[in-house]
Amino acid sequence: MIEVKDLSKIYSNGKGVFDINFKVEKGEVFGFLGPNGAGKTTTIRNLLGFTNPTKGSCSINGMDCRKEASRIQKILGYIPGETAFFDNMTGIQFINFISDMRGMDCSKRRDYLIGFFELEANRKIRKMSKGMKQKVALITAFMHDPEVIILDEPTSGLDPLMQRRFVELIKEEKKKGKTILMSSHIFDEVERTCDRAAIIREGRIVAVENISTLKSSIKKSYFVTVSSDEDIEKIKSGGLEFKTIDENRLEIFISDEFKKLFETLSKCNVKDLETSSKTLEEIFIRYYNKEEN
Amino acid sequence: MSWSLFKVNIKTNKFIWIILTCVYCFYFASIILMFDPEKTEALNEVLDMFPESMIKAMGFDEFGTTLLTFISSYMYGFLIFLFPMVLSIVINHRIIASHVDKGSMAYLLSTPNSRVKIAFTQAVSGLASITLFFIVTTSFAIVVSEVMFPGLLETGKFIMLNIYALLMYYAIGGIGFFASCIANESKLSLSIGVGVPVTFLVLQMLGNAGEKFSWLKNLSLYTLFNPNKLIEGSSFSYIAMFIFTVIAVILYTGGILTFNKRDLPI
Repeated sequence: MIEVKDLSKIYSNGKGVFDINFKVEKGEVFGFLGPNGAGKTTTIRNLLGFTNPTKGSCSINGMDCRKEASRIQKILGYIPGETAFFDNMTGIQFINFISDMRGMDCSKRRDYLIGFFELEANRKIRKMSKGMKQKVALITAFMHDPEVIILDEPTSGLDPLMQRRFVELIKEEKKKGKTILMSSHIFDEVERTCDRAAIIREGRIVAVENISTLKSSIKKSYFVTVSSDEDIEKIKSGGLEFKTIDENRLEIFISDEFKKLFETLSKCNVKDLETSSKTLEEIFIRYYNKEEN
Repeated sequence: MSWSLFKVNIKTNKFIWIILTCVYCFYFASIILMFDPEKTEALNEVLDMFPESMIKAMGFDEFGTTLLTFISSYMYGFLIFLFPMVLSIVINHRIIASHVDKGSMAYLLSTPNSRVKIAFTQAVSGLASITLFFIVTTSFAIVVSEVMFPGLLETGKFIMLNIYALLMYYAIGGIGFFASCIANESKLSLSIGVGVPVTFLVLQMLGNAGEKFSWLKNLSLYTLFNPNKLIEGSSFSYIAMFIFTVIAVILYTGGILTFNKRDLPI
């Protein structure tokens, strides 16, 4: 179980995180959402015991993150936000080195994970692409079968196939009852894996919500291209919220009125329909707008 | 102490260690070969041809008449401040500050090893590398001397001279290690780790160059390293060894404790 209590870490330039409070229960997958620079990594640094809190504290399974960091590491798996290794080693040398440093035999699970992520483990890390390095990071974080896992933007650099594998892995770990905290600036990734999420912005937590609540509060948008002005009129009279993009192109917003959407669209000659890939900022804006209303 | 990390340090640093040790041994060999018991006078005459201040700045005071004083004036006046210093600076920077700057320290600290244990291992690695450097080069010089001039080198005093130099390097290494422990970025670690020892060297050279600047010598840590005093058997050198040791203990302990307490930007 991860607990962050009144945590503040203020840097000399006045930035940092302020009065952060949240709890991740045992067996829960918890998302930590925020744009770049919002304070995700600062919070995680405190959880790993890399920095001294200005105020407050955090604990993992009841152990203080700063004072008992090395004890916590026995049950913790961690992926740093930045991937920097011992460049002159090959992937497998680095993985084995970390396993030696842990003083554990992780060879079975290590081999399973190398296969699972299709890592070319004999390549020099210096010569690896960002995605390959991220795989090395994933393997070192999961190979000792830790109880608690903290992941700082775990999918950065991974291609879509490997991102899916990653989601599979998280779901597998969740089944085993692992406690997982995962930071991200991509809503979809959190949506697919997490039970709850905290949203952080400019160093402050603005919401801790169930993913389903978050999702329903965020309007989905679809880009629709139709063939004529008549169709546009039909949509306008259909009672849906929309925005005109081009002559024959609209953006329609819905929460859960799918029935209405399909009924309206079925009367039109739809030439194209696509979902928008939502950026986190958009989600925030919508989320905040809703809050303010 | 983490042996896994210690082994990795050896691997990372063996290249620069081997190069510097070989070059230093090469210098040792050529200087010993240059020694000619019959002709030390002639060499001193050659020296007289150069401006005195220049010779003194380089630490070549007098070539002496025994093999020991000959080696001592050649190797322990200036070269001693070159090769081991480069080794000490590079390794001390690499073992802590470079990992913090790059972020790889995050991996070391996400294993169940405390910061004190990691920093202690790194300190031992740094000290071991310089110690081994002196063991190898000293043994090499003794072997070369025995082959070329059997029985001529006062081995006991020569070993003592190297222990003296090694202790000085523990103190210099302490500066680099401390800088490495407190720095967030390579820039800071290197500017202290390089800056302080080089400043000492410049002060020492200026102080040696002429009477007018001789007071500058008192500001340099290296003034405590005086091979002639050791060869004479003066207590100065033993006090100096003690001071070097104290400085080293303070800086290494301080470095480890600071590293344990501080915020790490990783």
